[in-house]
Amino acid sequence: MDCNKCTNLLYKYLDNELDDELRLAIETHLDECNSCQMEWREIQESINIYCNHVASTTMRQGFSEQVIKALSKENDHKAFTIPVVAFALFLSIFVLTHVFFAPLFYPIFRMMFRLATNLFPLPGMLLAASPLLLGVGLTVLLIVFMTLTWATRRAIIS
Amino acid sequence: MNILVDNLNSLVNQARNGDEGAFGKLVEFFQNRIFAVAYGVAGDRQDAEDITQDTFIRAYRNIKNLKNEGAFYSWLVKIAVNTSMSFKKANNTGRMLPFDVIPEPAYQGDTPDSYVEKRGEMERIQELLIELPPEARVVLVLREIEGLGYEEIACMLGVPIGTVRSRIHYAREKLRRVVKKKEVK
Repeated sequence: MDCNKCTNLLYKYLDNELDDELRLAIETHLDECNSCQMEWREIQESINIYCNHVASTTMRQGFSEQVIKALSKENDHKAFTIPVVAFALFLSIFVLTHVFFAPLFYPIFRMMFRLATNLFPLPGMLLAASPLLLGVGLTVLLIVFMTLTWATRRAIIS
Repeated sequence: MNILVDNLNSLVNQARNGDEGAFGKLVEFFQNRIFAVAYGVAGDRQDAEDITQDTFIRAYRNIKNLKNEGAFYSWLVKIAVNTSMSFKKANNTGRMLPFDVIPEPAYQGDTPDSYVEKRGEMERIQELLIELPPEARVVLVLREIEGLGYEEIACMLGVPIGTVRSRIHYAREKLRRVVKKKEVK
């Protein structure tokens, strides 16, 4: 085996990717050739230095506690955020509905409300008795109406 | 060994059910290995710490999606690699690090001369990590530190095996030249 072929195969030799015949030929050549042997040593040494350096850099003490603390904080934050966001969303829809949309859709809602009262007297009476319940009912109705409009539009477009 | 594997699998299962304590034990067990991967890619201790923390937080958030508890570590390494790559892309300033932030491994028991020699080696590797492109650092760390095969690396990174081979060859040659250059000096 010549030096050129040997140096070309050194990384495959390192990775144990050669068959027995080639492996033996390389080992024989390395025993006889100082220059290739030096190259082989350089390869081994450089990888050893790299591995020792990277593997010897260990994480500082208390890291796992820090990660757990970060996770707990995140969970607490999430637990607090979800209800707050949900409430804020509902409130903004409620306000938007009554300030901007309700006056526009009032005649339609009025008609639907009367229809609902006639069809389902008991919920109708409850709604009539409580203005807050009526407000919530109107909001829900508006959301249903908007969703149906959106779904119909989407169905027509597709 | 089997007891250890069983214990790890059971910890992964508990963590999947939201047990923070079990996940903490997993962090403790794998933190140095993940840190080594992150450090190998980032080439900077502080960045590697941030990447390691992000890796574990991402892992905790997504552990419910992990189907096979036996594959936890390789899944974690994949997260670490992705986190490191996106971190490097986001912070690609190409800065050189002052030597006082170079990690200081424990070399207790060394003579002053051997300590100086090791410190020199450390600085060379640090320079190499800064010089190498992140893609080459990733394959180098997966091959030399994690001991993964070419196919496994190709599968993990989603690149052809030929690309993995050429990147590893490039990184190893560069590594050899850096060590050799300093020796000649």
